[in-house]
Amino acid sequence: MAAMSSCSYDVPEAMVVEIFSWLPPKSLNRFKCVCKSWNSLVTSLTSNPAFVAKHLRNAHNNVLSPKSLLILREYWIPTPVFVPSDSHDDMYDLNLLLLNLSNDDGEKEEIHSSDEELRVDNPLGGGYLSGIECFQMMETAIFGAMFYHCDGIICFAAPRKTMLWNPALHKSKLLPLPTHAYHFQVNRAVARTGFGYDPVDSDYKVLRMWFDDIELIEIYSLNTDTYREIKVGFDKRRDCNKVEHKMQVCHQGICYWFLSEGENVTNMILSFDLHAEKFHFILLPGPMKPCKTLEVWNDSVAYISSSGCRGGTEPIEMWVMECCSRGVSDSSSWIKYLSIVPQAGVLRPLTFWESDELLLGGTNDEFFVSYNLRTQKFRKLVIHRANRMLYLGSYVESLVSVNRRG
Amino acid sequence: MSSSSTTTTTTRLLMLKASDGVTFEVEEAVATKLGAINNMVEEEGSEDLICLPNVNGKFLGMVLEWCKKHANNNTNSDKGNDEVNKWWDKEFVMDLDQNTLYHLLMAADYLSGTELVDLLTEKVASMIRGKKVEEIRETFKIKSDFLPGQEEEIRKKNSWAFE
Repeated sequence: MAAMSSCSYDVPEAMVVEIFSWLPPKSLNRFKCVCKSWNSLVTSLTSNPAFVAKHLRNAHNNVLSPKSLLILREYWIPTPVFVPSDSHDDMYDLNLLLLNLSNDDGEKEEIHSSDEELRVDNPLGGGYLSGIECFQMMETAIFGAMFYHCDGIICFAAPRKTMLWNPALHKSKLLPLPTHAYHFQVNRAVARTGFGYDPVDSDYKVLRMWFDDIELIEIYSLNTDTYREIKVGFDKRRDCNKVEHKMQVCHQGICYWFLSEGENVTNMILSFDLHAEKFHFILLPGPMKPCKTLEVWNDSVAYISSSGCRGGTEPIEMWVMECCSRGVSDSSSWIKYLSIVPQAGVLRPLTFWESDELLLGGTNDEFFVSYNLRTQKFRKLVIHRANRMLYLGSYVESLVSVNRRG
Repeated sequence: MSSSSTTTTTTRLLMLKASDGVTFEVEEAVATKLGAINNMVEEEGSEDLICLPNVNGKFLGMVLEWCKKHANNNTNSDKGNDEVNKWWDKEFVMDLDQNTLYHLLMAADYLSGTELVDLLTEKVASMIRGKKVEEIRETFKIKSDFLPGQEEEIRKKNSWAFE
């Protein structure tokens, strides 16, 4: 703004609060230095649950700032020629990137992105961890770890340790060990995890399932900061091994996983209600396809799938779960929302990054397009550091504390 | 959306008079998107001329333009309406200069146009999010009242916010 320096405005406090509710946590913390009253206003608002909730709603609904995706990628450090060739161990590292996508101009053929590296805030105090240091701290290999995101909190779940992290507040914490330490001493126990917000209890919860020789399901509550064992009513021995390692989505307090048996596809997903602590099986609208995702779209769960064939003429289909069933009944029904005839080279549905923009992946690591549900147009999306991507998911900056109580 | 707009007769016209005497003839369903006008209509009933001494014609006109667009979009079928509104909102605030934005926000606040206040405060936030502390003081007419050392202390505690 050219007039910037010559204009000053007297804005009433109620409007200042409204403006604050749209600002990223970083700006809010910086603006504490403006004056005494802004310092105390920001301090009191950021610890006020009603404001934190409003800020979160705005972060989801904003139309004027870029949207973010979180990317975890592995990259190889070029070995200098003078290093002996037996030191291969240190040749790779991990990047955690925040990809900012701007949807300013719908007319352009290409969507531009910029990325910034996220340094992991060390939960053990002071400073940051590089990607690889973080995995070392979590005592896990890359493929043994899962990332989930809910309301600005990233849940980093490894077999032995679980960390909650709010990158926007630079706060992280390691969860206490579950009660059954036995499972942490034996490496073979593989956990399936779930993470999400339970709107009934206003609580963030982590679900950990083991099904080895001992079957155990525990649930962690952020409000009480403890784990609790829960009893469930389905045949764990028979069904649990089919649960895909990665939880797909958590919506309205219900976590969803695909079920598959080795190479054999099923046509089922498993849901877990974080409040009622109950599992349900949900029938998919057809046989599960190789490329698939569950997404929250328009306040419903959407199933988007494609056969992922190289030829690529089969449509990408999107089904929406009927609101009334909300994954708590064993007989949920789906409504076919759309069928996308893909552009050449487009294979995989990835994720929604805007309510009407679906990110699709191509034949290789570096080809992405975004499909607009409203205009039905494909636009190229350039992600500069996309090769060797291990995780991609949506992300919002929030004021939700990982140390909340009650 | 206010439910009263669908239950009352949609053709009733209201006359709104701005501080500088400029008048606007608006459908009731459009004007009642503004909480303040909705209240006046409900309280005073038959009154067709509403005086708004705190808003001048230029900004009242803009507020009403926004109301009209949203009222129209919402009478269309539900599907994709949010997206249309979002698109239009973006256009509406895209080229607003700081001075217009300020007066428009004050008008929207006075008229209790909650949704418009949301949009305008989001616009302000998008303009100031990257600004330095000194720039914020200048824009919002604020003088630093910290004692020596206090500001440094806060800055130190939140050093990551200044990177």
